[in-house]
Amino acid sequence: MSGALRLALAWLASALVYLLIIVLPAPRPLYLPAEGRVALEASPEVITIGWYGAVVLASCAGPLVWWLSGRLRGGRVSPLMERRLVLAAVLALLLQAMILAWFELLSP
Amino acid sequence: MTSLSLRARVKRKRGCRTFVVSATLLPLVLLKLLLVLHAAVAVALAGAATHNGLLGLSSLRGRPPRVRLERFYPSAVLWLFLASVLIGALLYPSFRVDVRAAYLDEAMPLGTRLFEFKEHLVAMGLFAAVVQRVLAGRDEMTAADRLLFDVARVAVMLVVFYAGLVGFFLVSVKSV
Repeated sequence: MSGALRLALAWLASALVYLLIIVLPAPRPLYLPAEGRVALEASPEVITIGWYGAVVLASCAGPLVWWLSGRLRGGRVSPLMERRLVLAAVLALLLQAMILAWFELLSP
Repeated sequence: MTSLSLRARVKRKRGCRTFVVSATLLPLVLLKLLLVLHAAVAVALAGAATHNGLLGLSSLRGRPPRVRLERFYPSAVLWLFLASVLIGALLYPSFRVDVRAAYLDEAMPLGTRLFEFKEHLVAMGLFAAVVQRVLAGRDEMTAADRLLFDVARVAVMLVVFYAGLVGFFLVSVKSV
């Protein structure tokens, strides 16, 4: 697997982990404004854990996927296919950004 | 001022002097200094990211790469991005309590939403900054390397533009 593809996958994995932590129902009471105010009343420190945790775990996911993909053997990809796969990863990242935009800016 | 922010800004006595501290337990003066430093780093980052992103756009249009600049700007962007995120992370708890909960959630919910989306984009852009720096160090690039390198540079530029605009707008509304 080429360097670009591995990097694209690592970037994608990192963003995906971040997205899941932010959007999944479990951390939401710590994160969403309306519910967050309730948690904030109890403890100002608790409220910040959601974002820091998401950043730290996302920062771990990228290098982990980079390392794991480096251990894969075989499966040679043609340059054209490699370019297409990188483009697909970039489009997936764009989709994730749009989901986050909907989640923060447009959802009620 | 709400009761929440009153509680957040507590007075601590140390000897005969009284310090006003925020919810982060950092002195208010230090928070203000960090905020100014955050803005200064953001301005430098905007400059570097713009040059870097424009080089990326130029390369995506098929123009020949400018090797020396393609080695300098990705490094500058990565280090400035990391510095900005680190300083922002130090300011973040104070923003959550003293600005967001005490003011923005009530008076300007859109400000909260714009800020939270900024944080998401910055988190995703952080890895883009790493990706473009890793690829910039390569002597030879495949077509896929070049594509990812250029896209990452342009992505970082757009993230920095959005983050800068929202950051300066919110500071003009209420700072720490």
